[in-house]
Formats: sequence, structure tokens, C-alpha cells
Amino acid sequence: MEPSSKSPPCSERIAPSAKRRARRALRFALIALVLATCLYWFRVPILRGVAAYLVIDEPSPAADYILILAGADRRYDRAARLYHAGSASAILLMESRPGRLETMGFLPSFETLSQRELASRGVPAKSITVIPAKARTDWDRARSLRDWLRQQPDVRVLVFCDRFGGRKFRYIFDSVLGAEFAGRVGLLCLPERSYDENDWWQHREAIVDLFDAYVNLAYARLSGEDSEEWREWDPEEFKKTLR
Amino acid sequence: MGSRGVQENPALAPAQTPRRRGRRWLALLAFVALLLVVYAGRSWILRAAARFLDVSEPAQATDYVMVLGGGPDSRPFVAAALLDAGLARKAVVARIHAWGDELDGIAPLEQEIIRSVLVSQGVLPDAIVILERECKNTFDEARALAEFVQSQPQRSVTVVTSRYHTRRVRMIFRKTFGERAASLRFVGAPLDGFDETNWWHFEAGWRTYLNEYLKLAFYLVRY
Repeated sequence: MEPSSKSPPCSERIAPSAKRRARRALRFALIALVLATCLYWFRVPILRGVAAYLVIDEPSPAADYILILAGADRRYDRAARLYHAGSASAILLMESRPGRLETMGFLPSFETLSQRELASRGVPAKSITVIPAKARTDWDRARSLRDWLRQQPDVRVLVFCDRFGGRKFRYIFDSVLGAEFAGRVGLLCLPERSYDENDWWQHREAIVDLFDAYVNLAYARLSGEDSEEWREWDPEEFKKTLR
Repeated sequence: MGSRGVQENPALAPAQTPRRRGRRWLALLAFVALLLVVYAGRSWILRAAARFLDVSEPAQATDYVMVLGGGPDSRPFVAAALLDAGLARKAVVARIHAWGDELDGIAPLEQEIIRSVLVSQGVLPDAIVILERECKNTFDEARALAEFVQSQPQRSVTVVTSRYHTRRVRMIFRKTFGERAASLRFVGAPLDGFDETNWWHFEAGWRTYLNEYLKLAFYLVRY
């Protein structure tokens, strides 16, 4: 037998392979084009969905307490409104670990500020309970809430948090409170005045907030709590380095 | 698709398939090796990622020290220390756009907090200048400072911001000042809780550094 009958000439061997590669590339390009077109057409529902995933609204018809967390927009207005409407019988605050500005007196502590703002909206001091916590992280807050709920059987709490923080809080509350207490805690992600999940991509600060919320959620789910001690730097030490 | 091609030309199958399969295994092996190297060197990589953002310079004497908004719990303390050490004569503070609680009068304006901190650290009220232009972002702050020094081009300024923020700030200020950027210095303030060597152990660390990379990418594309 001649060798040529066993294997085809070089040009014949390359041609089908190149044709196959071109066909594959074309197929990929078509799929990518269809995907890109779909993404563009459905960009609004997709972007809405990306943000809506973070928002959790569980309005409890009869909450005994409203727990106000820092960061939620117009939290005091909303809490006072619900209180005066009879939807909640009291307000709950949680002590936070003071930062440098609070310690040095440049800013009031979160609980002092909250009490002042609630009082200015007609909420009497006797209807405000402060949980002594000195909490720094949301995990600390969840643990303090669990301890408090343990002493208050049958009490239901509605937690006010920022618009995109709900998913992370739900995860942390479920993890820390467990089945026994988590069911007694509802979440309400208060709307922001300048954006919501329907138009967040048109606002720079909303893009940053959404990005941060996903980073926080990912960290909570993948890593849990901070794994090293939080240490504050000393401005006096910094001064010494300049001398 | 591949099997169809082999059927079309049977002479191709024995010659190419094992070689291609071998190449795929090699690529997979290289990928796994790369992942292992990345995992083994993760501390070094994460530290390097943070240090890349920090281009702060040692403090030197300048005419003014400018405090950027966004870190009132650390930046004004560093600025006050520079003034206290005689490395600047006056503090310049940006007028920061009010958001949320500030708009409602619940929280004080950031420039007022910065001013209070500076005064508490021994800076004379006369030595604090609050700029006119309202600033929503770092670019606005650069423009506000450029307007301020326009009539005094010989003046030098130390810009104080957080360490992780210095690369983007330097980029923005250089772009805004052009040739006059030589009169600027950038000094970094430390953060509470974590630094370049351990930021990945903290939720706030991830948020801070990833957020900064996002903004850096945005600024590179946009401006």
C-alpha cells in the first residue's frame, strides 16, 4: 500500500481542523451575543433583583418593641410614627462601643442621640429600653439581643436596619438566635431617601452601598466574625513619631 | 462537535486526541499549582494589595495641611499633629456635602467635627480655613483646594487622608493640579482596628479595601 492511502496530505489534515475551530468560535460568538442582548434587554429587572435580594421586609403586625440600629435612614421618624400609631408599644436601643469621637465628647453616643431624637418626636423616656451591650459588631448585637430575649418571654421585636443590610442581619440573627428566638425577631429595611432598589444604579452612593452590603454579606457567610482583636491607634503615639 | 470531527477524518483521531488531552491535563495541573501558590502566599498577596494603595509620603514642612472628608476620627488628629510639630501653618478643611442624618440636623456636619477636633488638639481657630466649594467626592475636594491656592501658586500643601486612600487621592489631585502638583504632599492617617498587615481578618477591612479598589477602577475609567 502507498503511504498516501494511510494518511491524508498535510493540507487536507489542517483544513477540517481549522474549519472546526472557526465553526466553534462562531458558535461561541453567537451565544455571547445572545447573552449580551438578553442582559441588556433585561438589565432593569436584573439590577432590581440584585438589590432586592438584600432587602428583607418582615413587618410584624404587633411588635412589642422596635429595635433601632444605626445607619437606617429616617429611623427615628419611622419608629416614632409606629409607636404613636400603636403598632409597637416600646422602643429598644442597644448600647454601642464608643469610637474615638464619642469617647472624646465630639459626638454623643448612639443611645444618647437616639433618646434625644425620640424624645423630640414625643416618645416618652419610659417607653425606651436600652440594652447594655457595648456592642461593636453585628454579631455582638445579635448576642445581646438573644440574652435580652431570654429574659423577655413572648416578646416580639421589629428591627430597623438600613435598606441593603437586611440579608446580612437575617443571616446573623438566624445563626445567633437559633430557632428558639429568631422567629420572634422581624426585620424592616428602611428606605433611603435618595435611592431604592429600583434606581440604585443611577446613584453613585447607592452603588457603593450595594457593593458594601454584598461584601458584608459574603464576609458574614464565609468567614463569620472578625478573627483578630480590634485595636485603635493612638494619636499621641503618632505625634511622638513627628518629634 | 469534536467527536463529529474525528468521524469525518479518522486519520486525525490517533494523532491529535492524546496530545490535546495531555495539554489539557497540563493546563489543569498548572491551574491547581497556581491556586496552591496563591493560597500559600495569600498573606503576602493581601498585604501587597493593601500596600499598593498606600503611597503616603513622610511628613515635611508645607504651608498648609488639608484634611479630606470621610475619616473624622483619624485624619484631623494627624493634621493637628503636623501643625503641632510645626510642619504646617494653617489647616484647610473641605466643606463636605451633607447626607442623611446631617441633612436632618441629627448629626453635626463633618467639617464642624473636623474643626472641633483640630481646636481640641491645640490648633488656633484662626488657623483653620473652611473652603467655600461644597464637596461630594474627592474630585470636588481637589478642585476646591485648587481654587483656594490659585491666587497663591507658591504655597505648598500636605493633603491628609487615610493611608488606603492615598493612591487615588494622589491620582486625582495630580490630574486636577497638573504641573502645580509638585507643591503637594500626601500623608496617610492610620485606621482604627486594622492596617495593611491584618485587614483581611475584619469585615470592615474587606469593605474598606475592596471598596477602594472599586473606586480606583471607576476613577481610572471615568477620568
